[in-house]
Amino acid sequence: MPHLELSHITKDFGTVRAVQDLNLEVDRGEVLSILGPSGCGKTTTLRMIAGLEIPTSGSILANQRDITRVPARQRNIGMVFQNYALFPHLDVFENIAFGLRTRRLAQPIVEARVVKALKSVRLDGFERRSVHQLSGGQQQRVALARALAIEPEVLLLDEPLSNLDPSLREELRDQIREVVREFHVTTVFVTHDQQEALSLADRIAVMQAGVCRQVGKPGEVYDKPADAFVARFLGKANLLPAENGLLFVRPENVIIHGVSGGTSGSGFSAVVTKAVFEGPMVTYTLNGNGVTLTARQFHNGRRIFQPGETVHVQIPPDQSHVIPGSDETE
Amino acid sequence: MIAIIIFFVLLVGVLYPNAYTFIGSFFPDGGFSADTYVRFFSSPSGREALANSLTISVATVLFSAAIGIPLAFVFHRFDFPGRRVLRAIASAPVLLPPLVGVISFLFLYGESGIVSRSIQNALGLAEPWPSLRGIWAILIVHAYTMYVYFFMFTSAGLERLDGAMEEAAETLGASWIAKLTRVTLPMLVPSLVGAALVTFMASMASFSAPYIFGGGVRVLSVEIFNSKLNGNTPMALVETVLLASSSLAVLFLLRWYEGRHRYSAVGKGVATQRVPITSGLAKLVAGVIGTVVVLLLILPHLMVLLMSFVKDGTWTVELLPPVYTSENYLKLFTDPTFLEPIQNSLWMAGVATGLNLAWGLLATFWLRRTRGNLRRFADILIIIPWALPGTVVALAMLESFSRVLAGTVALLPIVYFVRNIPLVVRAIDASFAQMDPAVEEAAATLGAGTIYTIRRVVLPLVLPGALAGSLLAFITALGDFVSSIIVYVYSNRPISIEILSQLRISNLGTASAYAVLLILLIAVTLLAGERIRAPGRDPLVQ
Ligand SMILES: Nc1ncnc2c1ncn2[C@@H]1O[C@H](COP(=O)(O)OP(=O)(O)OP(=O)(O)O)[C@@H](O)[C@H]1O
Ligand SMILES: [Mg+2]
Repeated sequence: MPHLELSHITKDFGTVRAVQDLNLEVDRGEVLSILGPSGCGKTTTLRMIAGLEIPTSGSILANQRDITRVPARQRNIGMVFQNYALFPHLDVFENIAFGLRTRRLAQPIVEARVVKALKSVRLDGFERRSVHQLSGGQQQRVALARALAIEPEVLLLDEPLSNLDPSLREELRDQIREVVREFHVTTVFVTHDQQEALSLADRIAVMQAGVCRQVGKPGEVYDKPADAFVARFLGKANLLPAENGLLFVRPENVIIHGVSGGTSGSGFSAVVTKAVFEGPMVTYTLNGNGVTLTARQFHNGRRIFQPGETVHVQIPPDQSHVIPGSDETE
Repeated sequence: MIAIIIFFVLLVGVLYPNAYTFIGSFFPDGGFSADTYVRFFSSPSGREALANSLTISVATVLFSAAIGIPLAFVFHRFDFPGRRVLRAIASAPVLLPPLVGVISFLFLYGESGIVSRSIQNALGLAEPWPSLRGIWAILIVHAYTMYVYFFMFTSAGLERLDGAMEEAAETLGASWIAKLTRVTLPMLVPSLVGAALVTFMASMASFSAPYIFGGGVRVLSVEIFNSKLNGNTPMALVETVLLASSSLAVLFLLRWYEGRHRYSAVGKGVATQRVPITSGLAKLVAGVIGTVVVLLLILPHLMVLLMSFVKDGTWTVELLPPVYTSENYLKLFTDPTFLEPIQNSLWMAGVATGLNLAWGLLATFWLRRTRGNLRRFADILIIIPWALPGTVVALAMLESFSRVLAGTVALLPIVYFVRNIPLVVRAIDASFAQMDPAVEEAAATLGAGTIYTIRRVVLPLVLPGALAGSLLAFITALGDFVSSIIVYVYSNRPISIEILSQLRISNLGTASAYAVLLILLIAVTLLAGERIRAPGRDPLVQ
């Protein structure tokens, strides 16, 4: 029984269709990521779950109860905004206590919960800081603590890491994962960064232009993309013309070896046109069988094939599959 | 309910008086007739007043631009000793209420002014010089008070300019002339047009200068007052309509222009480096010019201060006042008749400003949640009093409320209130624009209802800006002369009216003591306004 359910959600802004016929289910305690390029309707989806936007059609259910038209303030859904939206006139403590005070909790309970929330984001002792005196990462964590302090049914995060510099991102990503697991709160977070989605989410929904293209576990969407868009959005992909669609294979799954080792049955030979050394791995661009494809390999200290060399290429059937339709993104 | 309060004020305070005036101007004695218009345009004096108003306004724009623009450039481009002090002093005219400024100019540069007679003595001239009067006197006073618009608009425009843009022009081989004419000035055009239109409207509206110092030069704003005084109400209405429509035309020109030339939000570029003035000779020249400029700027203030210590009735033919006393000030605070105007000004400005703040907040909250024609209608009504000269607003309200409020103590504070509606609403609007709309949504997700969000989040964020704007409104009301002279009654006579009465009976010292008090009140209020906008209260900058 899903904790949160979006069914046939469509949202129009005037003539712009931001979200179209979206269906999503999130289980209790699950972390779902909505992944997609800029403008695909991620924020809009999140805002409809939060109650900040009302769908044009469709319904949203929490615990089987229809909340489509319940105002945001009655939903008990915590949200971390893309720009954090901290209250600039309140200090860290009062920012986090805000949602507790609207619930008219007694002061000792408020204090206890604020302290707990601050501790979980590792900002103990920051209670009386003004939010102006915080770094971007600290502001982000205060926003997270503020959303968690109300012990929400569902936690929503809108691109929580996009405003931070890369070195901070990884650290905070781990922290968010820990905090979310610790509170065991049903979480939906939005991102356009596939690394973030793959490493944080239990399941990923990939969106494009308002339409959900695929939902699945990180491994599924990465290894078994439903279409060319998903295949490309989650990482480098070879999409080779095939009988009734496109043959999909990730570069790291393409097997190549030197022709001197003898050619064993299946596969075809190809010429190396480019070899890029990337530390542990080498990326080859190959030309053969009438197609261009990419392969990535650990070199493990072995010799690196040079442009002009002929190699033997194999595509393992268990790590490739045919995607129906043609390649529209190329 | 809220909408009713908002529209009640706009319809009764703005639309009704102006519509009444407009329609009334076509019904001089009950029946429809455009006779009064015909009479206005066929009389030489009417045409003269209109022509004078327009000529003076165009000349004022040119004069103010000639002073304000170069000054803004000097402060923006050069670094010199005393730069910050000088920059603060450049805004000194703001401290002088219109009437006070005019009076001190009269006593400095008029026929028997101190400066005129000193120059006569020093150069051995037959007549005092410059002995300002008529159109020239008006123009000089206007240039002094209104160059500030050009100075401020140009300074703001220069601040917005990205220094990298000029550097880019330089690397592309532009000479300084080319840089100025092809890059800098074109980018400043929106600021300059804004300043020109605002100056034009202020000049059209100007009353004190032509009334006190004009020596019989006819201008529309004063003609309205005279027609009314002579009991020729139909003519006053026609003149009001003409003055109002020329100002409104300029207002709509300004809005249309602003709409077409949105200032693009300029990112963080390179700040222009100020050129330090280092060579000895240049420093000397700069120092001398600076001193002269400062002197010219604060001479009016000093003049009022000096006159406030003159014993009434003692200064006649001497160059400098012969007898000094502090009794003028003592009198203001000990004699109830003299204290009354001060109390009147304070309570009327206070009540009007309080209403402005309360109504302004209510209106802005409501307008933000409203779209469509109703909102557009409200927006227009709100901006109208800003464009209308004080004489127009006051006369329109006096005439249209002739059966209820005219002749009562309440009308003048209501006029102050209506005139300051645009100022306060704009200030509140600006604070709202600085607020991140997501904080309201954040409050909602945290369980806060509308009222709670307003009380705990929106008001604390908006109030500093709103209060700062209200203080400006308070100052305007405190120093007002134009609308006061039309609607005051004896029991609510404000300071400015009392200054005029004291002058009429030659109590120069008493009048000036009032003026100094007014200047001090304005200065204190401005300082308080600065304090409210303390740093750290601004919304988070991402
Ligand atoms: N309030 C609105 N009014 C009109 N159009 C809107 C509004 N909000 C969003 N849109 C449009 O809906 C579409 C989806 O917007 P949304 O903000 O959900 O995208 P997003 O996936 O969050 O993008 P990003 O990654 O850039 O934040 C866009 O085309 C956008 O222009
Ligand atoms: Mg977004």
